[in-house]
Amino acid sequence: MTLHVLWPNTALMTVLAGAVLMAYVAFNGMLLVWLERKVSARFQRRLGPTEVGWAGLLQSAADVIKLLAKQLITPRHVDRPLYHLAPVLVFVPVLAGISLFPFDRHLQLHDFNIGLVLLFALAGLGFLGIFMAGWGSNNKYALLGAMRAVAQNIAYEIPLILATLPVVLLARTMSLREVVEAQHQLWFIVQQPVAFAIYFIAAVAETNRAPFDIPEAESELVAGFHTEYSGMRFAFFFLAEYTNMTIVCMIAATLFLGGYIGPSWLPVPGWVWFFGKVYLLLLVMMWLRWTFPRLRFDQLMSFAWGVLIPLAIVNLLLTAVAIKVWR
Amino acid sequence: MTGGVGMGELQALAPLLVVTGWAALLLLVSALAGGRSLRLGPLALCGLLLALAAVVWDWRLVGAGGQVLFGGLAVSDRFALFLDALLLLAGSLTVLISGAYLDEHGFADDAYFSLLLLAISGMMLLVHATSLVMLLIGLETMSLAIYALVAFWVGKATSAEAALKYFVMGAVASAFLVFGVALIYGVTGATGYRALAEAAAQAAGQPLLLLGMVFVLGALAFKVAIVPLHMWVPDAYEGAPTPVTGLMASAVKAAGFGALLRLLATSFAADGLVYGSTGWLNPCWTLAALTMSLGNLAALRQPSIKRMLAYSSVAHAGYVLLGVIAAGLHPGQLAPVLFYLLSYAAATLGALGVVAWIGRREAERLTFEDWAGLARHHPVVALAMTVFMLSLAGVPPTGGFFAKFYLFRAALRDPQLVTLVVIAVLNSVVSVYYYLRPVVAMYFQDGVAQPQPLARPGVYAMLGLALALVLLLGLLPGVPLDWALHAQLAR
Amino acid sequence: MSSALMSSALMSSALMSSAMWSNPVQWAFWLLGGLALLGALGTVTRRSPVQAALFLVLTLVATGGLFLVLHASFLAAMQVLVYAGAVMVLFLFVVMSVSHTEGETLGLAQGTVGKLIGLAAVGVLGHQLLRVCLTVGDGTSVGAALPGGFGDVRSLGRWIFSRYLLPFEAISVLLLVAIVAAVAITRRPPRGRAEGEG
Repeated sequence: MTLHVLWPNTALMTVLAGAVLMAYVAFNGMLLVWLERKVSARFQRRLGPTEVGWAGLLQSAADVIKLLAKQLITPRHVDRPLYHLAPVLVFVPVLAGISLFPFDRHLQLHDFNIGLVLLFALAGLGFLGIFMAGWGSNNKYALLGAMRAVAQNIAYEIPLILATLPVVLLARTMSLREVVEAQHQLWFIVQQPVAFAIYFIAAVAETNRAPFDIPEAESELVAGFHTEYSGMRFAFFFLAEYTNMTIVCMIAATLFLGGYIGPSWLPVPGWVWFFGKVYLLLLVMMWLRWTFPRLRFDQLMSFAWGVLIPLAIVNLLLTAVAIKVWR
Repeated sequence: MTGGVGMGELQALAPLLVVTGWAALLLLVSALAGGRSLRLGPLALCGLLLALAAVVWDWRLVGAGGQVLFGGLAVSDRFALFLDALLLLAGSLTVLISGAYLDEHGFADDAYFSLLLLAISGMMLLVHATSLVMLLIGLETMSLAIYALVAFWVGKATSAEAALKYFVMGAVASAFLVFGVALIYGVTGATGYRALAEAAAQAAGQPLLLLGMVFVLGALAFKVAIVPLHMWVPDAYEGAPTPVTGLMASAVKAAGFGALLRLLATSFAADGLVYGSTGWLNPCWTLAALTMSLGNLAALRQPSIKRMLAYSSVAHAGYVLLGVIAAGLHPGQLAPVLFYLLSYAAATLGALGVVAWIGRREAERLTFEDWAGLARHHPVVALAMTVFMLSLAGVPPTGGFFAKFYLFRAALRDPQLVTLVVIAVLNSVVSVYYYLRPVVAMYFQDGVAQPQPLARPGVYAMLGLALALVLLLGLLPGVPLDWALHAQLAR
Repeated sequence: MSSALMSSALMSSALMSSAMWSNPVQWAFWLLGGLALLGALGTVTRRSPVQAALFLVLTLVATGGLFLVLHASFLAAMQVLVYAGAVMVLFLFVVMSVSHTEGETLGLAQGTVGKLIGLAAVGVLGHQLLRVCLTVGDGTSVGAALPGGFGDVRSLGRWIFSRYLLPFEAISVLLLVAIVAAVAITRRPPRGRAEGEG
């Protein structure tokens, strides 16, 4: 097992890298909140935040300070262990997940040969956190939100994974770095447009975002599974959601859009390409959110089981056959 | 080890592959039919007969020594092929009667026949398996399909109850099987029967190995209903649709005993293991005696014919266990057990066929009063039922008599088993009483109303075939016995 | 119960393959094995079904960790993905849908006889386990004789599609059976019996 690390690989440095990642996660969360506000405002012919900092850039920072200062309320009838554990269990897998990516050719904490599976395994643990939050809160909105979230996540996890498999077949590896390295000639989105489309749709659903935001439908459920959380505990859920969005976009960029690879004649470092692609995809997700209305639950389910999964399976089989024939 | 699968290996497993593939075909057909009601019975029957042809073909192909497949994971020998034929025969008889039964009781038949074929493919895997891993997979495939078939009577409470009981207890049995396999693997580092035989012989005294063996054998004993593990039998047999009951009594039992015999004879035959030590004889001996006695005593008092046949199947498991013990004391003596399983399967399938025949949608007619006076209106079927009952009781000139005679004679060769054989004979005598109860009702009692049985060609074909088989095994046992004698385990 | 049995079986089998104590792998093993046992105990002793299920998750994740200690990294990830991530979430989903009343508990081992039998089983197993722990000789290190690439996707795939093709295919049939069986028994009541069929 080789290490592809920016700096000498010692325990201290690993801790340092973890700290940097944590800082990035926090910064990224604030940035995305600001971005979402701005994007939604533009879609609705408004201005969005303008007061705090240039173009309202510091608005999110102000919100964080507000959340930090808020009283932590624990409702009386909650299942305490579950209630307290849930935000942590939602946040930790996300943090671990983001540390797996190759941000640049030599900028990766550790390249696992099963990186992709590991990412999905971590995502699976995140569902448990959502479940614990919904159950532990002992609140009907939270419970309904969690049930919807879990049903939806299970349904869309299948096409999500099935859509990434053709890429694994083409790249012949599950290591994220090697998948990127296999795209020097051609990004996989060119060979696998259908898989990319399936992946992206399923990814939007996995992150519970509109038009798939049924678990958090404000008009029906207050706030879904995190209704009973306040202050920093609430912030953890919020942060986890935005980081999750970033992660699914990072997977998309890594698997389909060539990761850190860009046109070689441009003197731009790889990590710029990588993050450029990621934030572009994030913008697309926001665009979707403010364009489409919310689906009904039955539409959501029949779309996953009736359209996406069969399509993904057919795509996978065709890819396998094509590889067998032409390679 | 590298390399793909040889054509020869596939040929040697042809019966199994045909059945599995045919099950998938049936699923596709019913999926393409899109909810329209089909009559898939004849198609399923075609698949089973094709597989039977494959068995005949393989019988010559694999030869007397058998053929080891997939690096020792499975084997195709005449022992397995004989049981394959038995399973396919039982399956065919079940399919024959199922079509009319499903119609009568208003089942949708979309998944029934494919589940039935999948259950049989699981059983075939079970008898072909020579690795604990394959044993587990085969057992699970069979069990899951059978659970679903037991529960197939959607909307009937006893069917759901039966399936739930069977499923929960079966799941515990499966857990013990897995745990036993883990323990055995932990001690010996082997899952293949052959490797296990060597490793187990060296680790014979290891308590964990013994525990693992007890767990694995216990799980198999659960499936064939050896006495402390027979609790599920009456409810599951009674609640299941009657053709499924027939399949459970005949095929599941045969497959379970087949797997048990192969495991014991191949892996646990060394000194200090089940088959190799006198210490193991006493527990097995006690279990066999308990199984036949308790089964028979409980069968005496059953008000329902289906329940009586369920307890009778427990009793017969005891007789077969006697044969298994005898086969352990005299290696290679498998023919009595195989012949017994065949004759029991034919008779019990026939008896349950008559039970299915007499029941209508609104009335299952399971009590003895319901059968009163049947001989007057339906003399032929009453006669057939009498023959099935006599065969189960072991009265000449039926297959049951010859099977019992042959089994007891083989067991008598060993002085340690004389007492057990005496117990078995006494039990057979006792069993005549309850086997004759329906006969007495049919011939010597007056019925209240004339029964309107399920008069359909498939049912009569099934009953006729079962009757022919029972009589053939009793009157001309030479040919099937010859096959059973040739059905040896791969060396 | 079976998970408790499984994890103790895993423990015992891993125990016998290695008896070196100085190694960090050993410590990881004891830690994960302990967690797995703790989770299994919690699973069978908790009265709230949700908590029991969550303890089972702990056991499953710790077992995944044990796979990692045994150099089977792909299996470890799959264990977490499939069991903790998918199967247990479905489990919890069912619990969530079924149990409505607050304070509903599992009726576990209420009879004295059941408790005695369970105690006896634990005693026998524990005794055997202890005996093995004490009598195991000089085991070799787990990682000693492993071929290169052991446990990664490539080698696992190669094994599955060559030597272990038959069980692999048989398991796919088993899954097919499970799906067909589940669909078959969850249909609506049969023709003519159903009210409001149309």
